[in-house]
Amino acid sequence: MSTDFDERLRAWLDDGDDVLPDLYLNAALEQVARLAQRNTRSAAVRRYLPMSGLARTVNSGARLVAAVAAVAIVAIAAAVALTTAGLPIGFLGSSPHFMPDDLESIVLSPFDPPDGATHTTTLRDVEALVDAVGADTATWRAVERSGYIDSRAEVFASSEFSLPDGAGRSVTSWAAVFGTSADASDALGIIRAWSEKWHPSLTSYARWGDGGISFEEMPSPWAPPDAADWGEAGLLWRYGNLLMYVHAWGDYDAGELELLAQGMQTGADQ
Amino acid sequence: MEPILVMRARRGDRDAFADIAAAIGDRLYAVAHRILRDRELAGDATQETLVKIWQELPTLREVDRFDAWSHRLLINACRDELRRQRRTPSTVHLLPHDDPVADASLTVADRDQLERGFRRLTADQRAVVILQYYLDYSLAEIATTLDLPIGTVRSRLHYAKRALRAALDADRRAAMPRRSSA
Repeated sequence: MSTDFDERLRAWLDDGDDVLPDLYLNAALEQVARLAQRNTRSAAVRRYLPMSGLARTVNSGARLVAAVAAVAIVAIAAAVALTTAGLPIGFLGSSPHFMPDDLESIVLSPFDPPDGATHTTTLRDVEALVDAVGADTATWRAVERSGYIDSRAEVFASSEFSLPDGAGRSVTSWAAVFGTSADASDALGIIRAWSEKWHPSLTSYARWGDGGISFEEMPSPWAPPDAADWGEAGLLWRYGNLLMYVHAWGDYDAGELELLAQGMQTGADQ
Repeated sequence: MEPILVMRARRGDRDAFADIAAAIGDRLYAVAHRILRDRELAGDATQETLVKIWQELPTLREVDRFDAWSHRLLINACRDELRRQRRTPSTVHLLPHDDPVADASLTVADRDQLERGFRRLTADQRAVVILQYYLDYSLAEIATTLDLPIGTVRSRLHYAKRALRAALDADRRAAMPRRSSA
């Protein structure tokens, strides 16, 4: 709905220069004539093999031995930690496999919204992925490269807690299918790295499935100043080749978020 | 933007890039001018962006995302310009109020208050306002362009509009006593 304020803001923004002076266009083209484009092949290699100056001096054989040893140590440590953490029986051995058709029954149903909320939109594939990570970014491309197949998001909002300008309480239930469990694990790592940028309170989350991340910020750094009790929280976890994510923003309840996550896990188990 | 042009430029065709630069230069400059509120800074940011587009084009995987991608590079350049500007002595140039194309529904005071309110916004807040109100991008498109979660975009918009509204309201509050005492 357009308001008087919106109209005035648009009218104000319509004022201003619209033509790039030739001086700048010509200067840019002169620079381009002298500059080479980025070498994508070497850039890709750098992205995948970030090496320090010291690492470059080590021969490849030594790096291979070191990598194998590191993987073995991490695997043993993880097995010990998980065994002693009281995780569900069968956790280490189970690796369920999901198909894109399963997504609909995993995310929250549009017909069964969280208390006080109404369903606002269903997102599929790229749209849904964008809701979790920004599109056409290094993160987005990395997630797609990791064997991403399909995703679905159901978004709910509550008019009861909404503030003007669309900043309201919202809950997103998101799930994504990957080719293999290893792909999903890679994607989890990529999204985790991306999330660390936005959520300093990120911690490990291992209530269900094969581990994940959680965060809770109260109040949220993005909350409006007159809504000091607003927060933001999210749970992202991997289950076989599936990533599941539930995110709430606004005047939410942490216990409710866990229940929603439990609902998604139950959907996956059925 | 014609995908074929983008694909040619991505492969290193400078003539194709010159056509692209000529086609998008005005649009990029218009956005930069509205974010930076200064012709010289906007020209510099646009020039820098065009060069960056050329250099980074091989990394653009999907040519149909060229517009969003180029706007993201432009906004990064604007952010850098604002950062540089803050490190140098302030040279504020308010846009002229007697612009013949200015919308008649806006009072001089409105424009002045919006200008001052807008200048108080951060580069990131300015960007979301321009993308929504000048380019008519949806929240999802803004999120895509800026590599942000949609919730963050929504929140930045909320803050920015709130600040701009407050600037306009402040003007009204200041004007009311003058009217009543007249």
